[in-house]
Amino acid sequence: MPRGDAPEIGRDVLDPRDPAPRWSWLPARRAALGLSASAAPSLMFILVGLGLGPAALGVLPAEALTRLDPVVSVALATLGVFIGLGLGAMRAPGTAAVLLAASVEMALTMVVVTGAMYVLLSRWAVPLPVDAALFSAILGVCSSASAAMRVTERAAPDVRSAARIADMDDVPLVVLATFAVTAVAARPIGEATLLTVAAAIAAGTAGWLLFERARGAPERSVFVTGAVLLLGGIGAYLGSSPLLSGCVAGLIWVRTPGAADRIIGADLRRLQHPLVALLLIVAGASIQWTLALLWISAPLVLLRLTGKLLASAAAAWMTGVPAGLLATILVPPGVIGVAVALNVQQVLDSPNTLLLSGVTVAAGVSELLSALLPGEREDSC
Amino acid sequence: MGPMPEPRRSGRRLSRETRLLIVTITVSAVVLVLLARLRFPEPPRAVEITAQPLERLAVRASYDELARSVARLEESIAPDLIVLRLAPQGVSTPQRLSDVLARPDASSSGVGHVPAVRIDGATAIASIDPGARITGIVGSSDPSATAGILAVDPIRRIARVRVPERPARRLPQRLLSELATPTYVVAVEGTHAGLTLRPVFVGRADRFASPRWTRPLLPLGGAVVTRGALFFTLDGAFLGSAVVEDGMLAIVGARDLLDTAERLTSMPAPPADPGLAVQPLTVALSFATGASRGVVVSEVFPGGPAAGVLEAGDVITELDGQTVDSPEHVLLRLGTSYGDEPVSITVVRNGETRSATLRGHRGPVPASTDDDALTFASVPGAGTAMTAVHPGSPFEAAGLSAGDLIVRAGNVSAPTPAQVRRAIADTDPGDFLLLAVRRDDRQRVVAVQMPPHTDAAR
Amino acid sequence: MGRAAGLGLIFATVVLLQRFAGREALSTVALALGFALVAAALMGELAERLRLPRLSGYLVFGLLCGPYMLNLITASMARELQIVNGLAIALIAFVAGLELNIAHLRPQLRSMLIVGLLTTLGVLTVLTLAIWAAWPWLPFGDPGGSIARLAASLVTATLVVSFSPTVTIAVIAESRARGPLTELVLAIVVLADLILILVFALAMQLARWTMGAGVSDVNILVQLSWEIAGSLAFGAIAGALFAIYLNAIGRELTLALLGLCIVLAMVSPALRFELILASLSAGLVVGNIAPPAGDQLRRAVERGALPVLIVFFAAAGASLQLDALALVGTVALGLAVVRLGLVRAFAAYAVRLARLPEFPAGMVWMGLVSQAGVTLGLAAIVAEEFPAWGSMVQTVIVALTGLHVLGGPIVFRAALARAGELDKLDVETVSAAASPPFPYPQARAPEH
Repeated sequence: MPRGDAPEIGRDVLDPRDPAPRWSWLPARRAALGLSASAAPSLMFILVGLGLGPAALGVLPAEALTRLDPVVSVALATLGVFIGLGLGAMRAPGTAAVLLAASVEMALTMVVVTGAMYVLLSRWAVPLPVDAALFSAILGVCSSASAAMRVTERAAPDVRSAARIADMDDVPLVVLATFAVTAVAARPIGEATLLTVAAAIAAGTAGWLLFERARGAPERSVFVTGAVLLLGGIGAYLGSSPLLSGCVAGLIWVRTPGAADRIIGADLRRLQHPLVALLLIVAGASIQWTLALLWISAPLVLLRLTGKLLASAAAAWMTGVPAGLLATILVPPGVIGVAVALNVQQVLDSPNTLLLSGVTVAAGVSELLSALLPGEREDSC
Repeated sequence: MGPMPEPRRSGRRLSRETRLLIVTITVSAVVLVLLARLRFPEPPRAVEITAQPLERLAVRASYDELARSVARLEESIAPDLIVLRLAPQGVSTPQRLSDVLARPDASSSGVGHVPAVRIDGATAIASIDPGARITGIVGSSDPSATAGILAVDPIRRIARVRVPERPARRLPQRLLSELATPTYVVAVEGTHAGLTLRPVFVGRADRFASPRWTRPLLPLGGAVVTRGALFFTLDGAFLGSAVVEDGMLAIVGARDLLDTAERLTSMPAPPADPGLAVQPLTVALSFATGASRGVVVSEVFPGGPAAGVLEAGDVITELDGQTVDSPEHVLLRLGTSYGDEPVSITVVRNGETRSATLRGHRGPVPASTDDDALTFASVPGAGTAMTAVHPGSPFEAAGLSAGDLIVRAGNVSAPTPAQVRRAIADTDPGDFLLLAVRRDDRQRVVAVQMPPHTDAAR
Repeated sequence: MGRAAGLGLIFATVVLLQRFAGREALSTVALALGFALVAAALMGELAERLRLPRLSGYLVFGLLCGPYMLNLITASMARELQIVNGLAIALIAFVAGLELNIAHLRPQLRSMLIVGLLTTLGVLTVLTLAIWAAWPWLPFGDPGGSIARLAASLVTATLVVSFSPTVTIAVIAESRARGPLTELVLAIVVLADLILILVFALAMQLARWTMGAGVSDVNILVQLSWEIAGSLAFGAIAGALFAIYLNAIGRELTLALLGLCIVLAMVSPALRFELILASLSAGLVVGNIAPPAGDQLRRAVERGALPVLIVFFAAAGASLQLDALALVGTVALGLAVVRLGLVRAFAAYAVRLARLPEFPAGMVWMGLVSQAGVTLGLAAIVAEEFPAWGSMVQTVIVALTGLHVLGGPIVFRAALARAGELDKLDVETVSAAASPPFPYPQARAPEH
């Protein structure tokens, strides 16, 4: 492999290649906990996207954003692949318990956000692109994700467990996101999901057969690119989520004998940073500043915070990790929520980007808030 | 073998290459600029290099996408649309087989189909003229599914219609001012088979103000739609309806339509009749009256709001501070001020400018006290001929003109003038009198509606 | 075996997807790209096993799955795949410029010029007269008047003769060929492109003048000089900037290279440049003025070019209009045969005139068979301006191009194989003086 670094499976999405730059005080807090932060928080890319989008400089006109759809599908599939790789690689004991705790935590957040938003939305009569219940459900799904953290060696075991919980809650999220996307696309959910899984299994198997048999680096990257495009395309074609197809394929690649997972992990890792950055830029550029946006994003931030705090308490009760620590780790929203919102917006195919704008703004603000939150347990490292 | 040594990344070697590169860049840039001066002699408009490539990616002739959008739109808005069947209005002309064979393409039935859009569970709005009647709903096999006109705004020609009940959802709207032209919108029209939806291209156009409506309208230019067609954006938002303004088709925004519908619930009042007649200001009239623009008052009806305020020969130059240019503008502006809102006018009389106020007046103003609305002459054995028909009378509205021979009035054939007058007197105000009238060797049947609450001799 | 299974799986997936959700598919671009990439790559490999050029495999894949056969790639998907066209052409021409070593070629410039000019202009003249004479029997419409017919024949002949730099260079690149024949063909094809741009512009102007269509207000000389010299200048600037980046930073070469080609592909049509010339010039600047040390750039090129080329040729295959072939197949075939014969004759004569050795120079004509996108673009322009006779000409050209794009690469690769120049690219060619100058029948000792 040209890069020469050993592939790390099950790492988070914003895994930086270089250490965090010294000027960033935002991640310094988390570094004190023994967690390394992302080199460039999502907020920065959202702001870049905002600057480039039709609202400001206009470098990215609105029609061009819709044409970046295939890239968005590929980025989503890549995220899904990493989630799948991470899931499949976890063979440590206690994984089931962690998964359960993560699901509970995620579900609790989602219930809080969905319920409250539904009540608020039906009270306020804000014009929505979809049915209010579905809208609230999607907001709930998008808000229930947490940023996965990379754990450094000097982190305490509690911190490690907390990070694993944050990692794992992506998995039920993928399933729920698929349901949400298919519901918006007005497809029969069961059929679409089944087809996606079947197609992803086929594509994953084909990838497994082909990756190792490639002759030379260029051909291998052709196969990898093609596989990821296929996975993204499957999701886009069927109106379901590329996250699911990527996840299934990642699972297959990890579980099958051979080096398929390492190959694709290494190749995709070089692309993930630009792809994720692109996702955030597109999301930022799609923000439409309307009054309705305020009505949606402000409660969303607060509700999410509340939900996460409650969820941390529940997860703490289930796993024994201190609740305050869990809260600090679970509150930062990460990229997945924005990615799911992008996916839904893609399928919705409407010029009204209220959903995406709301989730993006809320994610940005949440990220800012989470950095400003007092960092507990600074002595735990 | 003696190959040349590998180029070392020494400073000297690098700078030589870099120098060469910079020279290349400079020379090429100079050449480019010189050639550009020759090639593009007029100052180049800003070449949007960054916008173009991404737009290039976007603008692929995606007609299939347009078709898909229209199909999806139909699914989502079909429940909110109803096609009404209207009875033929106006003058009904007789036809023989030879006429039909001579003009096979012309439609003769006069039956109108107009689409209506639901605004809540049991009401809808549609473009319907005053005096029209709904005979049914297209596409509904249920005999109890009826529609009826609740109220009509005669100036804007929008009606509030009662329709079969159905849970309605809030129709998303798009303001005309928000619509980014040029773009495609979907026009919904009614046929005897149901709805048709088709994309219509709205070009880049400036909105213009109309005396009938509050907000500016969007002209449709060359687009071919029928009056009353409804417009939706491709993502399902209600945009407006097609009206004819100044001889041209234009879109009036959804907001205005809904405001009209709302006004029709609370104030089903006829327009305020200003009680005058106006005519356009020609050059000669302009010299004679001393006014450079405006509208000339041709007749003031006694008993109307303008009586005592204006006289024949006055030139109305401004209404509420806005200059007026056409008679239609004046009449509509005065007509739309429902109720008693006073309207301030600027008038030029004998070269002097003065201001006055007109107060709105409910109900029609009698046009004339002239009793001789009709003159009859007897044609023995055939009937009664009409030698004159007073303009504005219900006979003129029914399509009769001087020279028509009444061959049957009510139940009497070949009536004498006295029998015609008796038939008129026997008809209650507001009721219809059936006449058979002959003109130019053609006979037809005419229904004349007697005006309510007035002298029967009209 | 594993690869065959993989290919089968992918085909099965796409077929199933189309069956279940084909009519209501929301977005097909990503799926089309992924499918084309993987399946075409595998078919290219199959072609290589059969000693055919890999891009023939991509083409056949496109043809097979295209709208006229299996319809796995529908017509709209094929159109979306063509997004990479500009990028691919820029990349190919850039690579050609990179490989053309001017210092090395200078001694042979005279002979190349002779061969190029003679072949192109000779074939053009004879073909024009032939078409003019045979016009009544050809299915083109009537341009009106014999002078107009001459102009129309000239335009048509230009279209028929045009060679394809992109396909030729692509064959050279993927078979990693290097040697005298390669260089000669490369130079001639580029030269011919230049000549034909000139001739086409002049011929169109003549046609407009004789047929009374509007004449543009800009002087044609100025237009041509902008198109040619301007493109070269612009490409030089882009190439120089890229070379500075290479020497100064030199990281992420694949992305930088793709970025350069995207910029070239986007800006050239906007400013009315010739994309091929601009990219060629960029490659020339990078390859000759500041050649990068080591083969980092070459590896970046391979890595970046392969997926682009695969999609480009797969899309080309899917866009081949078989119905045009069915419609005017015989005419196209006849024209192809005539063209081939003329090219062969003139090339042989020119080679002799330039005093080049018979082998391998005598096989130059085999590299001049291919035709592709440039021709189609020009034909579209003709059809738009002169619909009376131009649209039928376009149909014939489309069929002709289809024949040539399928057969040309095969013929050329066979020639390269016969000349023993396949897979010679691994030879280190940092310094130009390492390879002996051409002509060199006596110095054809194996190099390393």
